Amino acid sequence: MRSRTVSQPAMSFEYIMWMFTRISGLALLFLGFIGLVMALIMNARNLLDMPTLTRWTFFPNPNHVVNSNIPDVSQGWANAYWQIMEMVIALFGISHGFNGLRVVIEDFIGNTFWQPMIRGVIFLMWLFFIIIAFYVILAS
Amino acid sequence: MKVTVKILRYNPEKDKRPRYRTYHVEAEPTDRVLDVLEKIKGYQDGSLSFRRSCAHGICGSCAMRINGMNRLACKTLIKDLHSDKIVIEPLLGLPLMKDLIVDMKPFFEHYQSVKPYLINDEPPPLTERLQSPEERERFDDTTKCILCAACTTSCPSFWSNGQYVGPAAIVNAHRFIFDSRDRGAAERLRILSDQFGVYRCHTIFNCTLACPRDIQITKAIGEVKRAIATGSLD
Amino acid sequence: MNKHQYEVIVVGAGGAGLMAALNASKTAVTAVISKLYPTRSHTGTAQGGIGAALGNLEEDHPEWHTYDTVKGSDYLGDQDAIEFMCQEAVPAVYELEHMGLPFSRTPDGRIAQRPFGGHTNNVTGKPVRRSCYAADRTGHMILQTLYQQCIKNNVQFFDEFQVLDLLIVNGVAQGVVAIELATSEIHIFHANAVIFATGGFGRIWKITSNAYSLTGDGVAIALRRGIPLEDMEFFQFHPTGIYKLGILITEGVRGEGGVLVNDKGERFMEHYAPHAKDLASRDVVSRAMYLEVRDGRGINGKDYLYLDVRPETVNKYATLDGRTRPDGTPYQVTGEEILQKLPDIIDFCRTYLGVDPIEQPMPVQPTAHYAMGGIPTNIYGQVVLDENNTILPGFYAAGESACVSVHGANRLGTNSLVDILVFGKHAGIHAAQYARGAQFQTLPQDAADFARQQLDRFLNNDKGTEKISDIAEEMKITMMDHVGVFRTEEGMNVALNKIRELKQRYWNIKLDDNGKVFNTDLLNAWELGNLLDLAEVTTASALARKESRGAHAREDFPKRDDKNWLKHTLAWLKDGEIHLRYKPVVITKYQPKERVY
Repeated sequence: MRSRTVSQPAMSFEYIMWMFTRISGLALLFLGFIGLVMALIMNARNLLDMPTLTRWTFFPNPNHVVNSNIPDVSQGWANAYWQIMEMVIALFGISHGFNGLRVVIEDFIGNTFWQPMIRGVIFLMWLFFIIIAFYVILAS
Repeated sequence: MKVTVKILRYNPEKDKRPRYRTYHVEAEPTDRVLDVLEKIKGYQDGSLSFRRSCAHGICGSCAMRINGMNRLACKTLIKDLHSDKIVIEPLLGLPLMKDLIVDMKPFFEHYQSVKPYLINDEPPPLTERLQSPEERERFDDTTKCILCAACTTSCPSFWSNGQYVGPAAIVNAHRFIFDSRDRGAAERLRILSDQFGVYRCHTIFNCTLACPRDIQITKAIGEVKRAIATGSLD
Repeated sequence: MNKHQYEVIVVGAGGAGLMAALNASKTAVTAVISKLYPTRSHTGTAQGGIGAALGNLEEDHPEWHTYDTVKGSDYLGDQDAIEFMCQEAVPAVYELEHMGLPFSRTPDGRIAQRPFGGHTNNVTGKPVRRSCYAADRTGHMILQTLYQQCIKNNVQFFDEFQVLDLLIVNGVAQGVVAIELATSEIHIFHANAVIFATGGFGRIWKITSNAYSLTGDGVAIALRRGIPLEDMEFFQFHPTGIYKLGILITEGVRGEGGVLVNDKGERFMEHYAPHAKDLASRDVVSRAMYLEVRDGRGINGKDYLYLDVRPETVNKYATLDGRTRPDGTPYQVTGEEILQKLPDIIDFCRTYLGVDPIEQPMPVQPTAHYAMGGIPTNIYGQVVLDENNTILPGFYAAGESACVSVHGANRLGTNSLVDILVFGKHAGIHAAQYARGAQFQTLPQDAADFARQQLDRFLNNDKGTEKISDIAEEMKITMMDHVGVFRTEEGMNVALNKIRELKQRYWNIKLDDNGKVFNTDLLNAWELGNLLDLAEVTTASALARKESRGAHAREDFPKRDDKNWLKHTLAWLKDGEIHLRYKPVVITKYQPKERVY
């Protein structure tokens, strides 16, 4: 059977966001996994209890970990590595969440008069949360 | 055996809203629900209105809710219901016109919107266009669709928003997208990748459960999603 | 009053109607009026395939197809029309494939064909692979494909409109009167050409394969407008309908190797049709089954027989018959292969009988299936009014509701799908051409009155005492008993009197529904009127024909009588009386001879 392909791929906003949801979902799991591994390397088993370790996985604030053997950590989020990592997690997480909210709402309101308005509101909320998150990460 | 049949009736000229009426009928366990409806219409209440034609599961006229599930009345035997109490209601999600008759226009409009016909402007050969048995098998499942609307009217996404094209439309688009003789896949995928296309499907699976032809609908929708993502039509 | 004007109106949206509409709409402004959504039409239930001499798997010629059809019709078919149909069948099939129909395929990618009853290689006399099929859903695929093409070409549809009457002004057809089912509003469709493709009328009989909607509407409307009906006594009883339900089990099952057995387990068709055996012509098989049952060899002494398509049975008889595959290897099947080739049949049996055909035999009995007779036309679909083939300008008919006649006294399997495609197409082309050149006549003010009267007499008839179902049931049982597979003078007289009695009681029907929205009660009453008229014409035509030919079999006149009866029946219904006249059969190449399978 000869392989058949489509001449022009279908690139629509819906398609891109659908792909993004799946990619960001996987990415969040992956980034969390990295966070967990890093914590374990930094001897978290002995330093942190379970709840704190879980919190670390998605919110790797080095202040949680106290171990003078790792000099980077004691600088807190002033360390670029953690800042970038945390911003990526925030970007994926907040976008994934707000897109989900958009999909659920649009399942019901669809193509009505309210759609552009609600999309605008969601967009503003998304932007607001991103700005706050980035500010917290960079300013701590 | 004696069967109790509760039917949701609605006469737009007399009723403000639909109401249940109960009938008692003598029926064999091997009788179809359609036979029971015909008995009630013929001998108890001639005003009972429902669509039916072939009476053996091919034309798709008699899709309705029977004991809560979307089924074809002519393919459901009384013994399949494992009960002597039957509740019959019209399909959900489409405007109710009378008794068990719903307005099928929105359903057919969605069907027509996905260009459900062969698109191939290449001049055809004198005889048939060739197609191998494997290529024919590729889209065999979705050729079975009888446009009964059982799938679309069982889909919660369609209930929430009737602008969603619905599983039936996507199945019929799939039938052409994966037909090796068709050249219109790009147009159809573009239509289906917009807001009311495949992305309103959240893999709830009600459609696959409801389909009287046992078409693997959710799988077909998934294949269309994959075709949009990868561009490959294999 | 709603008025519409079109050049061509097609009534009926099955295979013939859609084919006509597709072709007419290419050059004329066309609309299709149907009482059902088009995809609900009965064409969709056809299982077997389209007979066309493509010769994809073995040698075949349209001339052989022609001879088989002429013989199958018991020499009553008009041979010029049959020749035309068989020649046109080949391009029609290719055209369908180009439209997208998903035929089953041979290993080298061409349209697959299988053997079918009555279709033979004229040199060897053995069954030939002529039926082009799409699994066992050929009819469904044709209906879908044609509807899809109509959508592509923006054909105008009026769905769920019931046509009630044909308008004839100054001797030419000028349109139809219809009722919109959703509102009970009357619509007048003014047109220069009207094509009727409304299907058959199996609902006259108790056990039938026909849908509820097949009540012979177009045929009855034509009858009421003084147009004669041709060959009404010839109604085919398909041998294999599911016991009691009448649901059709395709002849294709026997094509794939299934055999009919009686209570003793014998393959009784060997005695009745030594060459073709189970693939003999349908009327031969139905009669054989009837005789077996009458002689007490029905299963458990009852009135049904078994159709056995279990792999072990198929293989046993395939070996005995010396049947081979196209490549020469012996024909042996597995359950898997049968399942793959006949999925819908397997589904019916499992659903309705709780029987798995691969494990158990299926209970079957003859079922009222196909109307060979109908509105008389020439090969262009133009309706003719008498034995001289006088045309009624602007009125066309195609499909089962028409009688060209290509099926004569008995139709071969797979020929109906060819019929609807070929004659639907030509009726559409011819009607469009005629309509574009014709003048619209002014419609009289009371154009809709005749139609209205037929409905008004039932609405608010408080003095009525009869129920639709009672009258219908009595008609169906009488017809099944006396005007079925085998007929006698005495029986048919009983039936005729009964029908006439029922027609009187018909005026006393009391409806439960006098509303305007989807008044299916009123619709059923009107349809019953059609069935009663057609039952009367069928019985009267059958009573008059004192011979047995094709599907019309009389115990009191068991032989075919070419000397006196090689002619078509034309029946008029005027002022409550039936008038019969006769039309000669067109014979070109094949002189009638004894019909042996």
